[in-house]
Amino acid sequence: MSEPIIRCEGVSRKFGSRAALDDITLEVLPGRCFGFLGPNGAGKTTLIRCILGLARPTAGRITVRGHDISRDPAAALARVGAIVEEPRFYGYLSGRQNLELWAAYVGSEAPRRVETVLDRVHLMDRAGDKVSTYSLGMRQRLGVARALLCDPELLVLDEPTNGLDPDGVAEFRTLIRDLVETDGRAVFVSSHLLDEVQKVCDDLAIVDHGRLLMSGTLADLLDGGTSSLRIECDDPTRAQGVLAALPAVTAVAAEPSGILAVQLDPDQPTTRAAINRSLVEAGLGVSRLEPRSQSLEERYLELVHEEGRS
Amino acid sequence: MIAIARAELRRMLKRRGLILAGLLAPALIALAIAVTFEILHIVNPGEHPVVGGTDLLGFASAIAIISVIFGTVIGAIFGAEDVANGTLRYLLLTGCSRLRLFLIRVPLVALVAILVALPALVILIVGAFALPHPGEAAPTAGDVWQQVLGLLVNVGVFSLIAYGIGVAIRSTGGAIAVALGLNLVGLNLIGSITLILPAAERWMLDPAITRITNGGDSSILIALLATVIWVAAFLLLGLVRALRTEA
Repeated sequence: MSEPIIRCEGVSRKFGSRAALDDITLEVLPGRCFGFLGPNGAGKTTLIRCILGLARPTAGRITVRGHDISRDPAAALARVGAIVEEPRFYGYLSGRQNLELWAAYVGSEAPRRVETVLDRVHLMDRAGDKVSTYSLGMRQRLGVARALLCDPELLVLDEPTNGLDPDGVAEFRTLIRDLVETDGRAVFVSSHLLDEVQKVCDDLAIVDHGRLLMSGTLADLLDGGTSSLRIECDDPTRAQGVLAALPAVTAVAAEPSGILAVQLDPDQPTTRAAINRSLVEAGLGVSRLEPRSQSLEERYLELVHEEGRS
Repeated sequence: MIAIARAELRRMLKRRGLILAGLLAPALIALAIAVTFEILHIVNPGEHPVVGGTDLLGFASAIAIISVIFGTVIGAIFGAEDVANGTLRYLLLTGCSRLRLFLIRVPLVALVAILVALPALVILIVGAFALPHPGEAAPTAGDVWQQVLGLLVNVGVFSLIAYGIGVAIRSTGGAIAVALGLNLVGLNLIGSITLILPAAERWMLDPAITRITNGGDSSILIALLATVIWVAAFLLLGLVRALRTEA
């Protein structure tokens, strides 16, 4: 397994007595798109600021590209591009002039990459215009262009689709996947938009009230939720009674179509075959029995509400 | 480092509204002074002799006040701009340290403020030499040097003080107000301490700059030291804030 490009170990950050981050531990792998999901005020931007060395954690350790961000920020950030909260530029300079300025700071090959990155984000035709005349979507794209100047191994994008219209969101999604799949870069995207995260991310973490609720692949997240089945049989009313008596079943509800939605206790070992056997042994004819996948939204709400209850 | 300084200078000069206003206002006033005196002479030659020579050069100090105000505004804006604008975090993400970022701009701010002030001074100097002034001695190289030095020192010092204030206050409007307030009123108020403590006069900024400009005084070293201390104090204030500011 490759070395994580970001590793957070027990990261906490307090503002007075309020914990904005509470013991966050997670890893982001190279060449993957990592979604950092949580409601507004959950601590997403605070963690991003800590990862980028813009704020210091009150406890814990963060390494970026194998370098401790507190001890060696220059090495850690040498090939990291980012948009934090929103991309900001000098409005009185053109897009190209802004990139030339940042390229001078980045140094190395960056000045020679200005035209390439402008082309990459499809801004060549407006590159000579003042940034103050750009739309939010154009500024977001220029922000990505600036982030690409250092030929980054890692891009950190904080709520990159905020304020974009549907076309802009779709364009941005394509750009992010392209950066991951074509270039092999790692992208860390924070968002509260579940649909966006599900469409672009390979791995994700969910945070709420500064606490990490889960971290893993998208498939892990969806598999780890409440298991449920959809069952179609010849006598739904009798089947409901049979199913309700099984210890592994926590709830059974009949849909208007007669299909039964069965929720299973995740702590009780059971198999679909065993449930099918129970129904057949009760003399019921089962025509369909299939697992029902939770959407990311359902799984997210389940985790956040569990956290709220605890 | 040179590439960054060059890019930063280019950026500062691209702030066209500010730079043009800074260039035109003192230059137009200088021109207006020369033209007014010329008209007065044409209308009433007996009362008003041909303007020129050291008389005209004497107005350089008036122009210097306007230039100092613009230098103050330039310093305050370039000091506060990055935090107010939200661009600071992106500059830091390039790996440039806060200290380096702060220090790179110190000479550039003074340079831009001085560049902006120079055209007005050039107009006055050229006018002083070009226009005749019968019965008066022509300006000497020493006269010209004194005006140039006065402008350079005043504009340079106050732009740097304003830069330190701008970095410390982090809001362009607030920084301009405080820097101009210090320049126009604050220093006089601080100077009133000399009423109680006359010995402190040599450490006050305005008298120190005057001594440096006039030269020839044995206390010029103390004047230089006092000026450096004043500028360094405000730059240090800005630097301390720059090192602590969350981007």
